[in-house]
Amino acid sequence: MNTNRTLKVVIAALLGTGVMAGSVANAQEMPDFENWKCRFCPFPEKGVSGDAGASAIDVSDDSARFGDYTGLDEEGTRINAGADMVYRAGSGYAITLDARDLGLDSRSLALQAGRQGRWTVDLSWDELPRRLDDSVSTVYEGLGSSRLTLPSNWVRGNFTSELSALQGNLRDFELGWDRETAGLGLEFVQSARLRYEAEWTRQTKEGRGLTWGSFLGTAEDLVKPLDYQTDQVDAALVYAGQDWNVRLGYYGSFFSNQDTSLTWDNPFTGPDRGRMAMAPDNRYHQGRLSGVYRFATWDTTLNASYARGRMEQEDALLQYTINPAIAGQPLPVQAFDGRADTTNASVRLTARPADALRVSAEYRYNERDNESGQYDWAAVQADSFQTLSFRNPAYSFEDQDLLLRANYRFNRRLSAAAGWEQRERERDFQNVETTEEDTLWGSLSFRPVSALALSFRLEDGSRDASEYQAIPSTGLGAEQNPLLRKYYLADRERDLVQVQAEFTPAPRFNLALRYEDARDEYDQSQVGLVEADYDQLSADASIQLGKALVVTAYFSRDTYDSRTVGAASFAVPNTAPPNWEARTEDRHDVHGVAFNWPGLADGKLDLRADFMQAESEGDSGVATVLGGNPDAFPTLRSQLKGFQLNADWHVNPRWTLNAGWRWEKFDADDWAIDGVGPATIPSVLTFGAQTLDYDIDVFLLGFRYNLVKDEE
Amino acid sequence: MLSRFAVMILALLLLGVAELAWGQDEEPGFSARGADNCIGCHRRWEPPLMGIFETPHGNPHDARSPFGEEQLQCEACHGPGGAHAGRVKRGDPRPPIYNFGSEADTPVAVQNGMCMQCHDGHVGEQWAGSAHDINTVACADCHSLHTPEDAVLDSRTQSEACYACHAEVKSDFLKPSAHPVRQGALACTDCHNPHGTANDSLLKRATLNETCYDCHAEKRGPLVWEHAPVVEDCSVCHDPHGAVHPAMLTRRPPQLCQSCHTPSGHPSVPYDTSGLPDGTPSPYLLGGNCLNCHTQVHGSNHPSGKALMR
Repeated sequence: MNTNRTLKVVIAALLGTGVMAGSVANAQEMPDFENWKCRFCPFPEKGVSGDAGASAIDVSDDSARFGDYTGLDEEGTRINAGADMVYRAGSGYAITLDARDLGLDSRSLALQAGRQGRWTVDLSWDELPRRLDDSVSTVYEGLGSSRLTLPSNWVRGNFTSELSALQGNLRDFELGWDRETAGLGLEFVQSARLRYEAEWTRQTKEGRGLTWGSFLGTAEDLVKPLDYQTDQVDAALVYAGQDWNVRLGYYGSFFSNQDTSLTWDNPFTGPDRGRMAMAPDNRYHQGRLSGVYRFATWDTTLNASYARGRMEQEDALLQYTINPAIAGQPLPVQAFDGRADTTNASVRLTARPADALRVSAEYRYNERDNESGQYDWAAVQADSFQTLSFRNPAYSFEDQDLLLRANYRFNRRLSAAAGWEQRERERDFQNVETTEEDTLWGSLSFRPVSALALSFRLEDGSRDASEYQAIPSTGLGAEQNPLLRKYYLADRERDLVQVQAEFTPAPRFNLALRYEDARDEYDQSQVGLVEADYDQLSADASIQLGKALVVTAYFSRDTYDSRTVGAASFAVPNTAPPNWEARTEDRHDVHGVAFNWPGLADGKLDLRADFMQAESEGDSGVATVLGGNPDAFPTLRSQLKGFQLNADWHVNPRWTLNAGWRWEKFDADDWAIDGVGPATIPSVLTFGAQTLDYDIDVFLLGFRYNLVKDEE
Repeated sequence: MLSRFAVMILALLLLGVAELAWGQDEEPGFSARGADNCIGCHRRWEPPLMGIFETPHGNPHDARSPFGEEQLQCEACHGPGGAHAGRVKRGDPRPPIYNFGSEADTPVAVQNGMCMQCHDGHVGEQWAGSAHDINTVACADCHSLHTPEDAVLDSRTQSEACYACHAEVKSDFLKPSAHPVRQGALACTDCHNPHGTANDSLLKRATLNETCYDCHAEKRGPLVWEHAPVVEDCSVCHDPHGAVHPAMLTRRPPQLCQSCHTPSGHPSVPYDTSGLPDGTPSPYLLGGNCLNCHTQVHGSNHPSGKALMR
């Protein structure tokens, strides 16, 4: 070993080979660029390139669920179009256009102009159709407004069976909304080190949402108006130094709602009408500074971030009630001074003290400091009766996390990692002031042969809660059972096991298996959620047959089981011992197979086919005696099946014809809504929603035109 | 002497210096003609490589691009290729260049180091020590540099790249209630930043709730009457990837609600099958169940909203 080589070994050992190898290019003598002509480099020429296309899409039936997010909710044929194009001017100036689904309610458009490496301007437009339910009917008029009225011939009653004008006034309608987002983005590269970014988006959401209204002992399904607008601004200055970089950013969110309340007529006997508050306007400002410094020693990096934010809302408040029979009390304030300050900070140190060893330590701090006013409110319950005075809690919390981990690579076949995490939560106005969770974990990755990779992970977490205490000033009859432990605040033991295997016996065949078992036990909880168990098993395989046919298949099963214990009592306060329990067992299976066969018929035909099936089942039972035989509910079921076949025929380099067929079927059984008509529940006037089963065929026929040059 | 030698061997093993031997025998030099050398052999390579000229990396007008003026072209990423492009004795293997992806011989740290030489400021200051970095995910495991369109940057195809490691999430998006990733209307990167963040799950905002507020800003508040777990952590009740129950709830109400609410009377009472439509239809079980009355479960700004009914 000569001196140079020895020196390299020492330096590599100290700095880590990654750093050294990563900077090899910089260490070289630069080439003679006179000979680097790049004559064979096919740089795009000036002009327009890309493709554009159009298609006719036929949908066989109406279905809100099928059309949710896609815009294919109505039967019939529509013309769709899209384009992916770029215009290149000289000197690197370019304009790109990405237009998708222009004929559908899920259309999007993105336009970018600029000169790469100097500046860019982005304009975007995006629509997202929510089609929630088309199985619903109502007697209310004024849907989508903030005032819902009953027909003039409406007859009130104590129960739905007494609403004699119900059937004659029911009208079908649809629940859903459209979300539209416009965006403007700017990037300016001032120098190799300094860059500015800014993005503004305006998101609107308009339509009809589902809500409910209630009076004393009765309730009704209602349509709530949605007329939201959210403006968001993200702006940042980014500076990259030699061994460090820093980002100074601002994030702002400004939400406004055109409807501050919803007033509705009471279909039952009782107060004439009620009024509820809609989401108030709010705004949030956050400043953020984050950065990283890279030390030469041990490939060490230090990341840090600090952000301060403030969320505010001060909408004028509604009165306690609109029921004229109840003497109105004066409000303590006319507008709520809602304000919460947020702090988020983190520091992370990562180092490679040896090439095989990587260690990191991280500290995180998150705080929500609720500075909102607290007042005594003379609340009127459900526009029906005056209650005791209550003081609103101002929930604040403070989280501190400490995470340590180490990875060690024994050799190319074996590596191990271990870590310890401590998460501490402090809360105000809740049953538990502090929870502290310690988690130890370890993992092992092993490649016994090059064709097989195995990995294992074990995790053991223990969460300890401070003394459980009753929340003050909740009023008579509202106290929780003293044996209850709310699951997100309770002592918890969490165990997790993960096993993964990836088998690649041949370059053209791959099989991956994964298993996970996560178990939560709330062993100090006598009432509440006492255990939850999540299992997941999945398998993926892909194989290439022949020159180009690739077949992939997948299977997945996950189960989620839980057990909840209750303490039923009508005595005030509820001090009953545990006396009932409920168990749930949810299962979700997915399997599918896909074929991708490009280049058929001398390269003219690309074929793709895809079959997928997803089934879920939910079994639950309630035992009215602790440990007794559960009374089993009908199984919740859903089944989604789908098949797609797509073909692209490349007529010539310019023209491609597309044809496709997509079939999708959805069936569900849900005891919470099946057979529940508008008047089924004596005290609740519902929309009579049903499970949204569908069986839809979609046919597509279209073309794509590619703007290739003649010589290509 | 023997012990010194043994200590040296042990040190070499521990420090992974075996890796150093990889390509370090001779200081490699650049090729004579740059990309023209490479293209001569790799023009019709499978998978195709020439698509890079349609991408930002192949833009000759950007001084930062590998093909910008006096940049190192192919060798900017693949390292000096003089030996690789030079003459090789018959039967000898051609000296390697840097190759990319987890399955490549080039160590992931070296691969990513090459990318970071230019992208450190873009990828962000949270990459080092982040989940993907520490688990030695290679940049090229997700990104395709030689195809005209990088699939991971397209919301319709991005999730497939993520599923390669996060297979369990794929089935979540096929559950009856799920965010529209399957439909291509939402991308994983709408919520997560795979290049590292300062929080769990690589969420792109400072907290889980802040991430949710990006699309659900109406739930931000602060409100007069807040529901404590709602302001703290949306995932106390919802599984954001998808669930078998409506509204992505982890469990079905009323049991979900009864896990935390046991005051005397109706919140504490078990609801069994006698409340189904063919029995005595129960408002605590059917339709909106608990929400039939406590409709403002995300909080209320109404002076009478303490019970989240207004």
